[in-house]
Amino acid sequence: MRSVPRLVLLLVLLHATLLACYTLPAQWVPQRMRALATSYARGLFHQQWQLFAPDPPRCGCHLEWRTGSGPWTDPLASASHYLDRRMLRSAAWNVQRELSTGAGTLSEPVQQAVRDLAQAHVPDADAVRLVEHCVTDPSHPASRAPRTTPLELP
Amino acid sequence: MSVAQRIVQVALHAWVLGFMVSALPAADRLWVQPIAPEWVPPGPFSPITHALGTWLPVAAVWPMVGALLVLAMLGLWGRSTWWSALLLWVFYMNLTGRAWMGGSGGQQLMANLLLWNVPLLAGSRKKVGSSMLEGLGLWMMRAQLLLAYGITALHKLTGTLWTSGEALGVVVGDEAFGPAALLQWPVMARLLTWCVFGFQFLFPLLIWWRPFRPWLLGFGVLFHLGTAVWMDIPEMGLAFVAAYSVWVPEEAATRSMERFRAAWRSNLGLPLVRTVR
Repeated sequence: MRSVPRLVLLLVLLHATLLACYTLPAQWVPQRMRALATSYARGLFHQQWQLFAPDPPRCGCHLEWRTGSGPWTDPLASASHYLDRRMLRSAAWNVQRELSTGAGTLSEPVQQAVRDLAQAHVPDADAVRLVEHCVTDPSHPASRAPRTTPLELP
Repeated sequence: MSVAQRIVQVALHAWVLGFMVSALPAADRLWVQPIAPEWVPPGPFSPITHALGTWLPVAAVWPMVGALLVLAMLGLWGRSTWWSALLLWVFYMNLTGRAWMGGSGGQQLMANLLLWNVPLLAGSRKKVGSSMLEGLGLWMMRAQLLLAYGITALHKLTGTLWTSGEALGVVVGDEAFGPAALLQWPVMARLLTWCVFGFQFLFPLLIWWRPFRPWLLGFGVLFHLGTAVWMDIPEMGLAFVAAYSVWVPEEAATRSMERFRAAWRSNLGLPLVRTVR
């Protein structure tokens, strides 16, 4: 540390403080400080480090599609590329997050992502649903209750 | 360029090269006709970092991917300059920004490290530590890694499952992650939860003490390789492992490099030549 020039140390501390204000739990950072940190970090230094925090999600979820009266298909099972699986999961989490707010319909960008995923993986599908498996008691995480929610995509 | 800095360059560029090559089979869905809805952050830099698909036509995807691969290879062979590092960062930001639904914390970590690699390289032609820019780049990278661990640990403090030891059981029981076999060993799952939580909490504190450093980095490598395999986030695990290179001290880097060279030469049957400094 002794060999670090003072100006460098100052800049690093300032940068780290602003990033901390940007990424720390919102309730810990004064609102004005948060706004300042956001305007500093959002464009060039965007990051979030929640990583299964404050708690891991209790409901695992995925999307399933169906053509006519055929069986429901989960493209995750057949997607061989890790980034395809990531996008499928990300779409499911976004759907889950929007539904959990009580909004009856999904936002247009999320609807479009779900349609594009169907086009890429199940092109003939005409119905889609969110399937969740929720932990009811965290001390028994293997026991999960299933829940399905049909999605309307106008 | 010092040996320690050379290791940083190899680690960062090897990661970029590996990530880009691994992403190529999904290129259409990531960049050409992306699944992710278009999103551009506010701010004066977005015309540069999110040019692709906004004012820059989609036809620029493939030249950009090609240039990124070439720049990563140049960096891997020690031919990077500050301006090639800057170009690499701009292309990386454009491509990962367009494919944000396939993003991860590892990609975000690397975006920040690649940006700070620009001043690191701009000051690298002088003696280690003598250049302000080099020091700025290196310490910003180090701070970034510590921040990632420290912030996630603080977030976890605000919940209940990490402190109770139940978090990892919930994670591995999720169909998206694993190993589900851990559910058969609840005591082990609890111990591992506290190990991971403790590691993330202590890393930013203990890394300053040299005796702890190899143990922390060693545990970190095992932890991140585990997440790469079981959490289906290979590039994230490897991004953290690559980022560890910024905490390798010069003398340890030189010693390792000499051992590596000696082993290389003896395996090839060539005479051992001591490095003259």
